[in-house]
Amino acid sequence: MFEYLFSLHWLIFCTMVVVASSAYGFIMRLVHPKTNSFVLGAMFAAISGLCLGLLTFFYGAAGYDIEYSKAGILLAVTSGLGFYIADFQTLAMFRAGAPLGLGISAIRASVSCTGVIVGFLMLHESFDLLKFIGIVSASTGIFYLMPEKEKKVEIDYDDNQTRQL
Amino acid sequence: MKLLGQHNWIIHTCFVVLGYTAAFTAMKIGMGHETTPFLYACIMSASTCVAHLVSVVIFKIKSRSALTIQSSCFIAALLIGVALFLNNAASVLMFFADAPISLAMPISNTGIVVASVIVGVFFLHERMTRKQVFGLGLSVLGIVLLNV
Repeated sequence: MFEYLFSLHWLIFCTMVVVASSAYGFIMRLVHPKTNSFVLGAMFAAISGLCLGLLTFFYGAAGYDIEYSKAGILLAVTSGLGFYIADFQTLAMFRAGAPLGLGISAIRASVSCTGVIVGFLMLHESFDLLKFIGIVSASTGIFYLMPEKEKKVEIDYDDNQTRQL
Repeated sequence: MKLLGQHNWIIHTCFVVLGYTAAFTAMKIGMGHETTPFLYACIMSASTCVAHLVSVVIFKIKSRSALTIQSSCFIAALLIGVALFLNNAASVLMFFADAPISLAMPISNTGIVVASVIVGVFFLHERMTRKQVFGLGLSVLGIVLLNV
């Protein structure tokens, strides 16, 4: 099974990432407002973890080496905690009325910016003019994506006219 | 600040970004520590699950009320869980298939943004102002430039 999977073109997996990630956002947006976000989070993380556990088991059973290190496990746990914050805050974001398109766009653009900044400051990755233009472009884009201040409307009940403040 | 008061989802978005940044930074460092990516993703999901369960227990102790779980919660959890699994597995397989990162990352990130906007507009009937469409274009351009 794995030989076949490894022989597939990366664009197929890239499409799968796009579809699965969009489906994740779409379903999160549709979740019932009264659903407890921690219960839901625990359930979907358990399902995802179980499926990945099975995949890892079959990967090992197919004869591939399963490597692990103490640092690797600790960092995986740290990543998991980061996703925990992101998951319940995503639900809170949609409950607070975030539109799917704007919310996901703002998250993706912001994460790309912070990723480059953290990479440059902490991991000593390269930072060139292209990335600088990218950060400026994404930041300006995020600014324009933000919802506009709602206009207050005053109703004059005497002559039924409305005017904007 | 008035804007934040009217649209407090922006505050939650900041926390989502914080969570993802921490997760991706740890992931980036973790990939250099000889751990099989499938196992890494599995431990990651398990620790997310444990963190949620701890929060459920704390919530239960604090609220002292019965925890009701609607049937729709099970369906949503199943669908999100499968989507997360497919996302994680496909991400790992994408790099096993020698995907060029400078091409794969912009394509996947741009694709997610475009797909979310399309789904939002056509299925959830969300509306976007001209200013927001312009902002979306700039964000997509920024994502492409940052990931190349």
